[in-house]
Amino acid sequence: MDDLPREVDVIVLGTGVPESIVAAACARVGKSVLHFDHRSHYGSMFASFNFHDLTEILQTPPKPSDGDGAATSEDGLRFIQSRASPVFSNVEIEVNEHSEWSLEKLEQNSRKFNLDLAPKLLFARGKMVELLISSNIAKYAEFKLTSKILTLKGDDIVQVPCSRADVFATDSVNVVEKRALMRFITNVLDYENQPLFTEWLDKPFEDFIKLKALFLTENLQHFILHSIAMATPSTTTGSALEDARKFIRSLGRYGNSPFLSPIYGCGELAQCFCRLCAVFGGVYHLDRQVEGYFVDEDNRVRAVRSRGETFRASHVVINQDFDPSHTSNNEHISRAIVILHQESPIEEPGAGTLLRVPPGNDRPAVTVIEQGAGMMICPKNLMVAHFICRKVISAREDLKALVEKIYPSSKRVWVAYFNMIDTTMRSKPTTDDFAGLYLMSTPGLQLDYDIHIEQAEEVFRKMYPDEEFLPRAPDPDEIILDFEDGVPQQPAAEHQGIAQESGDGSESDGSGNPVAEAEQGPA
Amino acid sequence: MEDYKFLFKVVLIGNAGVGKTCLVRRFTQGMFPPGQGATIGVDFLIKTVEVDGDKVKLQIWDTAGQERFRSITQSYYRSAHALVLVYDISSQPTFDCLPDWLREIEQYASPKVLRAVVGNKIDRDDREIPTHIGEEFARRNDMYFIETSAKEADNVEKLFTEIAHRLTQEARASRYSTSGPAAPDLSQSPSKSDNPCCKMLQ
Repeated sequence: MDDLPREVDVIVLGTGVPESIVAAACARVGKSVLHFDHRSHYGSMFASFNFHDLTEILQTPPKPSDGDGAATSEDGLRFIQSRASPVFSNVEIEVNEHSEWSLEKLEQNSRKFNLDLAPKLLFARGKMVELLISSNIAKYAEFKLTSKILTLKGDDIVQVPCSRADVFATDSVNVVEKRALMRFITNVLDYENQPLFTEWLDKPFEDFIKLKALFLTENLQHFILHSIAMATPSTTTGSALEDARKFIRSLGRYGNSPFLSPIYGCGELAQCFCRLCAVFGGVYHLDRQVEGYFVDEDNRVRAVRSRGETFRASHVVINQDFDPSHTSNNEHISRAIVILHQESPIEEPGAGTLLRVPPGNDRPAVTVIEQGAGMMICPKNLMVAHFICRKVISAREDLKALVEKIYPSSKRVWVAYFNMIDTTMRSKPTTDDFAGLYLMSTPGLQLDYDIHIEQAEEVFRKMYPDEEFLPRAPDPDEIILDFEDGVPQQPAAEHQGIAQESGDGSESDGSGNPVAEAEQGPA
Repeated sequence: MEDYKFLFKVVLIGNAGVGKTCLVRRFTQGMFPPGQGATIGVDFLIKTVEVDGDKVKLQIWDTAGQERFRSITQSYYRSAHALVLVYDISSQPTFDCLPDWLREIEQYASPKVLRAVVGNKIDRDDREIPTHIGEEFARRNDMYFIETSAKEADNVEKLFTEIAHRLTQEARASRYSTSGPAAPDLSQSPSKSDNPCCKMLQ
């Protein structure tokens, strides 16, 4: 019945983005991979849920390890128990009793929701988009451009002019400012060669912008600091300029927005890598409990114990759900998921909006991502807004005032506040205690997946220093099937996928929505 | 570049060992792969058929072995135009699992998706599921039904040609209808690109 392989190169536990990338990378170069998750869904903390499952997962405490199947020793190896620490805390749910969308109606429409635990946006020139293209797995998901980028300035929500077209069309920036902004953008692209910038690289970017001014009015400084560079007061000029450059370079690649998001929610991304892993022979088993690990006298992990069975592996990659060292000094992030009435049905159907709220009195910077039914994340006539910030007190304390300021009670249908653990601040992916065990990060606060991809690549290189990291997977028509022995032969991945881009895009006035263009089909 | 009018994503599901990969191979390559074992590196296979003078490209996706422990990614079902649910007529358990597979389809696939149920391995003489039982199941669930043998090439061509016909008719009807926005499952039919759904990332 259970014909799982008992000895593999790599065992991966948990199906979040970073560990799924490692799984795919290993299978891709021919390593045998066994991939388990104790939950019955893909994605771990990076998952998207329907309405019913989200409410359930937020309110269900993690199963205490009952010790069933635990062992003391085997073949002279010591047994170490895996201990899931609670992922969610301070969960508080508010329901608008006056909304036509009753709890019952939300439940009835449950499967139309894909609610992200970890909402993110992909920079068009960020590491995730580049990796999806270079590994040839962008075909596993569909994407849309984020249509608007906003910022909170004082009490007003204003649009951040992004493209040249935006800059010239917007009312929030005057003609003189437009020139200054364009000049700044041009300089940022080449910042390493601008003495103006290079002297400041190690100093705070906020001071630089305010002291040097560069003819940038207070208005523009706000846009640059909080939206384009997304800097906090402690961000150095060097890292802020790097972020600003990524933002600017991302503009125009696919249209007048630097960001893409996957349709059906961010939970799709981890699945893309799991599918790739499976296509290259990785074996998947969700809903499978793991009791712990066997380590040798040098504290090197040799095997995983799951449902009373022992699986041997050279490397074991895990996420926080399987952490045997039970690290407790984790940071946390505060989240709110707000289900809303859609304000005006005329509005572009939900390619999404990013709102960056600068840090305020005792409140850290908050990222708000708002999407509608067009992203296949909620039923028609509703929208979903995600709030994300560093935890100060609790999710509700940190975010409630802002949620209610942006969305008046008549608009709100359902709100969930919760805190999630954040391990992205930990310095290294290997646990100190055990060799051969790699602990991957939680989603964290960052907008894109750069740190997760860097971490996955770092772990892969530690495991297989001589192998290529996620080389391009062949297209089906490049595979020559050899029926003599039933084994398909793969051609060397010679040609790279060529990015189809919409020109320099900065002056394009297209709909900025390649998916919509694809839907229109040929004339 | 190859010219075609419509591109459809056809997704196969069903228990391990019912012959999904063999059906795809038989149809796309005219081969019956000997032996068992997962096919490393093959994501989907493509075959172009003609429907009333139009070239129609079928992109046929296999499960990559994730069905063995009921661990298929939801994203596998997304944007499928047709779902082909396969069982083995000589294995009662593979038929008994069909309702579970239907539930999974209903949760993740578009409600408008074309659904077919296929009883494979009719070349075998140890049949456990009579044809009328399969037919009855299909009728109750409003699905197209056919029995096939990937080994003997019985009805394999017919299965996929029928799917291509039905999808093409639906696509034409929606294209020429004047009402409302296009149905979501049309989103990727007509395009010059192999993969219109992800055109932007190629």
